[in-house]
Amino acid sequence: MDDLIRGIIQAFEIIFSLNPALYEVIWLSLSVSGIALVFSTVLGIPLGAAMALTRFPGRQLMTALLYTGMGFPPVVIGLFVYLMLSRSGPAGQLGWLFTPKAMIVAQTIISFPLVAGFTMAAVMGVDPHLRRQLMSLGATPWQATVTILLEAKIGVIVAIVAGFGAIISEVGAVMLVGGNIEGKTRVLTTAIVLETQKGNFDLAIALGLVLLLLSFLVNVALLRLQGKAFS
Amino acid sequence: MLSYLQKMVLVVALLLLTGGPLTSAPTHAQSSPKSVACEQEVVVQADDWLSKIAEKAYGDVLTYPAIAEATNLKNAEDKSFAQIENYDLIEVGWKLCLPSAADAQTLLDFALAAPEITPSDSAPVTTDVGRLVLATTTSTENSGLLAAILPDFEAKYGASVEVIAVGTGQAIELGENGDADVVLVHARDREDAFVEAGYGVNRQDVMYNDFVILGPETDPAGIKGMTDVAAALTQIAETNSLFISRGDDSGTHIKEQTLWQATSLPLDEVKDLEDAKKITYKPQGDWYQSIGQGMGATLTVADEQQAYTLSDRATYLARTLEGIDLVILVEGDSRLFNPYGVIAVNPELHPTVNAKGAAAFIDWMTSLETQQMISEFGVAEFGQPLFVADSVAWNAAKQ
Repeated sequence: MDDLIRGIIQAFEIIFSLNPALYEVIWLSLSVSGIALVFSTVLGIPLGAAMALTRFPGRQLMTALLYTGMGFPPVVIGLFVYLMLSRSGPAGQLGWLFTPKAMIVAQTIISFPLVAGFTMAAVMGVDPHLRRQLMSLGATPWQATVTILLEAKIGVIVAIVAGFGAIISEVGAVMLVGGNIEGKTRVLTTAIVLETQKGNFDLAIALGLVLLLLSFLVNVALLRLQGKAFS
Repeated sequence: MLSYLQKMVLVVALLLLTGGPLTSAPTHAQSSPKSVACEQEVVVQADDWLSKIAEKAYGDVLTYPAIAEATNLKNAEDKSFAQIENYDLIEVGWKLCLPSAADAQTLLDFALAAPEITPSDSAPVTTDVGRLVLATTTSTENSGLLAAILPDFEAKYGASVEVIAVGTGQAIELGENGDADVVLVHARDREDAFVEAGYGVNRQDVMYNDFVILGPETDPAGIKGMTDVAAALTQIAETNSLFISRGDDSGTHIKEQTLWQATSLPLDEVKDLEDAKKITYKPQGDWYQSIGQGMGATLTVADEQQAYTLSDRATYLARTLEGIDLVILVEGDSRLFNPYGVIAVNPELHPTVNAKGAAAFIDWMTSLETQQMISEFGVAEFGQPLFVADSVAWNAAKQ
C-alpha cells in the first residue's frame, strides 16, 4: 500500500520535474503510436467501409479473419515482425529491427484490425435505406460512401479510439521489436516493465499514471471530435 | 516422496550388486596420495579444457579433477608442472600430469572425497516444508541449473518451490516486501546491505561463475584474447564499437558498471529518479546502448546488432545451443568473478514467510551433495561446468 501512495505522490513530482529523459520517453510513446494509428486509420477505415457496403465472394471469411485479428495477441504480432526484420529474416536488409520504425510496423498491424472491424460494425449500423436513397438522389457510389461514413462518425471515432488504446498500452510487441533501448526505443510501457524489474515500484506506478493521464487526454481530444458530430 | 524412495531402493540395490564399494570410499579419502606417477605429460593447447583432455585420456569427461589433482601434486616436487587453482581456468603452455587410469580413479575419489558420503548422511527431514517462494536471478533459471537440482530438494524436504526469476534488484525487493521466502542472487554489496538493513538473515556463499565479454567474430575493436578487461572496454569505447548494456539494475548490470569504473574513460553519472543516492554509471557516446532487459534478450539484441556485451558464462553457453554468433573475446580476469549468495528473508520482519523452508533450502543448497550436483551441472552438455561450487562446507571438504 505504501508503494502505491508513494507512487502517486511521486507521479506528480516526476511529471513536473521536467526531466528530459522522461519527456523523451513520453514523446516517443506518443509519436510511435500516433504514426501507427495514422497508418491503420488510412488503411482500416476504407477496408471496414468496403466490407460493410459491398458484397463479394469470401467476404464472410474476411470478416472472420478481421475479427480474429482484433483479438490477436500483440506479442505474437511482435514475434512475427521480429522474425521478418531479424538479420536472418526476409526483411533483415532494411535494418529496421530495434528502431522506432519496427515498433510502428508492429503497432500498425496490431491496431489495423481494430480500426477496420469497428468501422465495419459502425457502417453496418447505418440505416441500409440511406444508401439507396442517396443513390436515387443521384449521388455517385463514392459520394454515397463518404456520406454514410459521416453518418457513422461516432462509431468510426470509437474505432480510432480503440485502435489507439490498444497500442499506447501495448508492451510485449514493442519490447520485442524495439528492444527498449534507452533514448532510442524506450517507451512508457517498456519503461514500466524495466522499473518493476529493478524493484523501483514507486517509479513504475508513477510512469503508469503518466500513461493513464496521456491516454485520458488523447481520448478527451477524440471525444471532442465526436461531440461535434452530435451538433 | 515416492521418487525419493525409489532412489533409495536403487542405491541399496546398487550397493548389493557392487559389493558395497561406497563403504570403502572414505578410506580413499583419508589416505590422500602424497605423490603420483605421470603416465603421460600433456602441454595445454588453445581451446583445450580439462574435461576435454580427460575425455581423450580416460574416455570420461568427469575424470578431469584427477588431472588437476595429479598436476598439483607433481607441482609440489617439480615446478615445471602447472599449479591449477581453478579447474575451469587452464592456460596455453601449461604442463599437465596425466596419471594412469587406476591412479586417476584414486585421485578422483580423493578430489571428490567429500561428496562420496554414505546415504545415512542425507536422511530426509521428517516434516515437509511445503510451499517455498524462491526469488532469484534470471541466470540460475535460464541456465537450467534450478530445473536440474530443485527436484532433489523437493523430494527430500517435501517442498514445492516456486521460482521467481527476475533481476537481482527485483529479487531483493521481493525479499524486502516479504513476497519471497528465500533469495538466491549475485551482487555482494546489495546482499550485504539487504542483511544489514535487517531484511535477510543467514547469508551463505553458494557458488560462483564468471562473466565474459562477448562480441562478433569480426571483432572490430580488436580485443580478442585480452586478459585485462578494463583495457578491452577502453578499446571498445575508443573504436566506438556498439556495446549493449543490460541497464536493468541486475547483478550483471552492476558488475558491468564496476568494470567501466575500472577504466579511465569519462563516465556519465545518472541519478536514480526514485533514490537520489543511487547512481548509474555509463560511458558517453551513441555506441553504448542500454536496453533494460534480461540476459536472454540482451544476447538476442547484441547478436542481431553484432555488438559487444557482457554476459555470465552460464547463460551464454546455454544460448550457444540455440545458435548465437557471438563469441567469447575476453575472459579470465579476476574482476569478472561472479559469486552467488543465498539469503533467508527475516521471519521477524515478515512472520508469514516460510522460515523453516528457507532454512532447509539454505542447508540443502550448501550441502556437499547439492554442491556436487552444482559442480557437475553442464559438464555433459558443454564440456565444462557452468558454476563452481563454493559453499563453506564444500571448500572445507576439498582441503
